[in-house]
Amino acid sequence: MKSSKSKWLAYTFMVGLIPVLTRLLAWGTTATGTVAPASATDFIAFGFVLHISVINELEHFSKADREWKTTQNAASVIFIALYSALYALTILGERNSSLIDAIVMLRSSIILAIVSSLLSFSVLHRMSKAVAC
Amino acid sequence: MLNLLINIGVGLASAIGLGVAVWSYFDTRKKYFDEYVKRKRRD
Repeated sequence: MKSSKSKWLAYTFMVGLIPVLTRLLAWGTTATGTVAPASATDFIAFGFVLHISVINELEHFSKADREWKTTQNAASVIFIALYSALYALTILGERNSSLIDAIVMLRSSIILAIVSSLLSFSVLHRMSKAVAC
Repeated sequence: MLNLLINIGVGLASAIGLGVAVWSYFDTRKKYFDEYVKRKRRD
């Protein structure tokens, strides 16, 4: 069942990427150095969108796969907690730039966003298989 | 020190996330392959 995957890609994945794409657009259309091409907060927002949508999708999924659902829910909760911590550190870094290394924050949030995407695709893969059968 | 903590946290979460994603993918494959075999046998 391809449509549920493509719907999720269109409505959740692309909507989650809007801050990243908007920043890239702003960076591309302004003079050099006006806007940074990437920011940790955009990737953190993307991660939040993915995991909240995964938790919502799992809520409406069949009651049969309880162990799988619990594992996926737990992973999403761990990621949401970590994104919250990274967001709090980013806010601290705005006030005191010597406290937080912006490059480390950006790199960490990009890595987490990639892992979140893989995790979300694994959930969608299961759901589309369940609908097809 | 804080950067080290961030790196450890992100590393651990990435390992957990990748582990769960790979486990979920193969669990799904196994589950639906088994069901497919059962259906074929019934037919």
